[in-house]
Amino acid sequence: MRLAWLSATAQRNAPYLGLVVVVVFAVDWLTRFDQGLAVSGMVVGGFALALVARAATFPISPWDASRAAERGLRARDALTTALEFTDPEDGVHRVIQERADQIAASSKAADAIPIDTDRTRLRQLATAGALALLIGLLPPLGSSPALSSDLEAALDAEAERIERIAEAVEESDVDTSEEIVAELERLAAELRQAESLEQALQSLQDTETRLGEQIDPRFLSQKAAVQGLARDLALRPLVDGAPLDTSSQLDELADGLDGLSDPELSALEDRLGDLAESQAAGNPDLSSQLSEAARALSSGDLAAAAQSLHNAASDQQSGLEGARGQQALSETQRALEGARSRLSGVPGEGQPGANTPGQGEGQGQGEGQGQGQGQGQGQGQGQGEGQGGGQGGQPAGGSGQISGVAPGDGDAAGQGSQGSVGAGGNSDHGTEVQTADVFSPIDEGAISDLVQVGIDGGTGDGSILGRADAPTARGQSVVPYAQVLPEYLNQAADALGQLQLPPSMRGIVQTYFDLLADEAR
Amino acid sequence: MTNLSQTDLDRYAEVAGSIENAVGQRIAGQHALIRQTLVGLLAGGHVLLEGVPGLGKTELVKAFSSALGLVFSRVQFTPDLMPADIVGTQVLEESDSGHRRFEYRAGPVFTNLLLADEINRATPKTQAALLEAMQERHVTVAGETRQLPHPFLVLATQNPIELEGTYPLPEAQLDRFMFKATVNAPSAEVLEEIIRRTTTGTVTEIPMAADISAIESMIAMTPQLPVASHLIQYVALIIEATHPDGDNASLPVKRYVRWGASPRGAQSIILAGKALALIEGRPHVTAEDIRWAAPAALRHRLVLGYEATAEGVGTDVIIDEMLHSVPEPRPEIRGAP
Repeated sequence: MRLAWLSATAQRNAPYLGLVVVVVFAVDWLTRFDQGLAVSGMVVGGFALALVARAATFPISPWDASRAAERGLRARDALTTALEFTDPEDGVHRVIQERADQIAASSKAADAIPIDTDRTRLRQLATAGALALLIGLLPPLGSSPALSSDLEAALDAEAERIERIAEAVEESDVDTSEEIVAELERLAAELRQAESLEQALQSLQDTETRLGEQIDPRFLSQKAAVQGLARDLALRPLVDGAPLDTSSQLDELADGLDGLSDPELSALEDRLGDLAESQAAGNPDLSSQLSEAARALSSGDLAAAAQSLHNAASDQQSGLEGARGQQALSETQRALEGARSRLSGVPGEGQPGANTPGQGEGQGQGEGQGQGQGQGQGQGQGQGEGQGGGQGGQPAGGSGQISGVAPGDGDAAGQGSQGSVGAGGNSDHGTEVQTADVFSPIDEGAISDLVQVGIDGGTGDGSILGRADAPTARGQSVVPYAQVLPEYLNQAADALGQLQLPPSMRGIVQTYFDLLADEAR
Repeated sequence: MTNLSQTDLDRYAEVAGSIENAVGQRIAGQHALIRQTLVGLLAGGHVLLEGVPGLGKTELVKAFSSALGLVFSRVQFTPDLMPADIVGTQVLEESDSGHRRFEYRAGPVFTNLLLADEINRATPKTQAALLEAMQERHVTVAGETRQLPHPFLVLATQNPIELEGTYPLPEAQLDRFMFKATVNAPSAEVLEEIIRRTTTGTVTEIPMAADISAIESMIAMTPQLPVASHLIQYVALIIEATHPDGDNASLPVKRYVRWGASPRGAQSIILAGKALALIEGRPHVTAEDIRWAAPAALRHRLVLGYEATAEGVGTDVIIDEMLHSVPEPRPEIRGAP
């Protein structure tokens, strides 16, 4: 009877169990749960175990047994009646007992309680099983198994890169390092747990957005101003024999004002006025302090001048620290952009600007070529990072300005990404062109430098044709500096002649090419 | 405690079989009707036979009287039939000495087997006289109570058509009948047999299958058969299900039935089940016996509403549906047969 119960209950619930298995497999198929077989096995096994346990323990009364047996034997209430009328002294009771004994003696237990087969339920179970098998054999929806493993490896690699960046940021000890590290660590974890490429890309995009929201819109000009001042003072120190550090120079100058002669004070007043002018756009606080110092010198108030110089030293220091923090944010954001590009698997993607400021960036492996075209005056902005370096596109024709970005991304395996060429926009109001960051390639995880040069000028239509040959080995460029340096120097000279740059900024550009020339030699 | 033995049970079944065979020699087909009538008689009840004229109702009763060896009377109920015509009356008699006194002349009710033919054609007063005798098994005339012979069994017939000038039996009086058997028209095969038997100018003699003592013994033996508790519970559930306001009432019962069966219905089912078990040689009643007896025991005990009349729904349909809706006691263990 327990077996009959077990069989009947199992058959009764089999279609529902099959349905559950189908649902589990379907969920596995739709979501790449990858645990469908295990979960189904646990469900079926648990059900079977519970069924057997229940069958072994539920109570069976004699009435139940006799009622079931007489129905199986078609004994028509003979056994149940015999259970009730058992008085041996009663004639009818005896007859009833004898009849029941006779029936029991001539019967088998298997006949009394047969184990029936419910063909309909079993057919339903078979259908569900076939459906589950079919779903199980289907490839996961939305991706192939091979792509899944590649994607998993790529996600792990990017997560490791991001963790290395986080370590570097933490070591740099900039004022934004805490926020950046937290974001990167969270991003690395999300990439490792991502269940799809779309999810990983979305995590990267979200992190980029959050980091971008922390970047000061005036960051580039501020940084240029601070760095420009530092370079200017390094080339032309305010005090003879003073250390190169800008803040220290300003402090030492403030302390030594009393020892300067009138001509020297007059020259210093002019110099401070020029420096104040160069800092007006990017670092107005510092510019104000320098102007105050110049005015104080003009009025002969050396004490006030000294105080203003001390304040300027402090502003310069805080500006440097702020710029470093902002730089770290920017670098990290661009590193994430690179990671997103690598994951999206789009090699050498260039995006010519049509009616928008031109912007181009690209990454790839091995050698590649990128081309971009731009017309008229426009804005262009390009950023690049990676090992090996590339080459920005070349202008061709017209008076348009180019914007080329040639990030190279090489690794130990000798792969480098191709340079891509950003296209100049055709906006009539373009005011700025950005050059490629060819001198300071960013190593992964490192906080690199960035230079932006604002350029006014450029009229008429023009086209840009760029070509970039990526290096095939880490740190080596296909095009040596020496070959392109003269042309770059000429272009820089022309640009410096046309553009209205502050003197300090011109010095920076000039110094930059001087350094390149020294290295080339 | 009962003293029935296997021999008694065998004898019961044997005699019952003989009676059925004997009656069957006269009545072609109608095995179910013969069985119902025999069960009603052996359970000590009265049977109402309903059917259109010419289906052999009267012939069936005559056949039973011949087979049972009982004293038989027949009363053709008519509108002018008086109660005294049933139970008897006192008449003024003058002796040889010239002394006058009232003498009681017994009516046809003083018999073992009474055929009340077309009982619904008599007036209610006359019907009541018979039905009182059926229930009390005695009559009272001029203040003197007279016992009816034993056994006293009434087989009444009524015609469901030609209802003009008839007096339908009230429900309370219908309740006195244990069974109401419906006599259906014979099939072509049975009809062929009837023609063959009744058109040769010869009448088949029915052998007497049991004498009055045997019948008395069998009627006494029937109630002694025990019935298992779950079957008594089953019958109670069936009776409860006939009541439209009962917990087990099915939708047709709620819709069409105005009054359900009385406890007499339950008694009739159980007694009929016992008689049927004994007729078939079984020492126990079965659920199949209950379901077999229920329609004949209940169809005249259900009072239908006007919805049933309007929609042409009969009691047999309702009873059949009800028997399907009331579950037979089964083991609660799934998988058991």
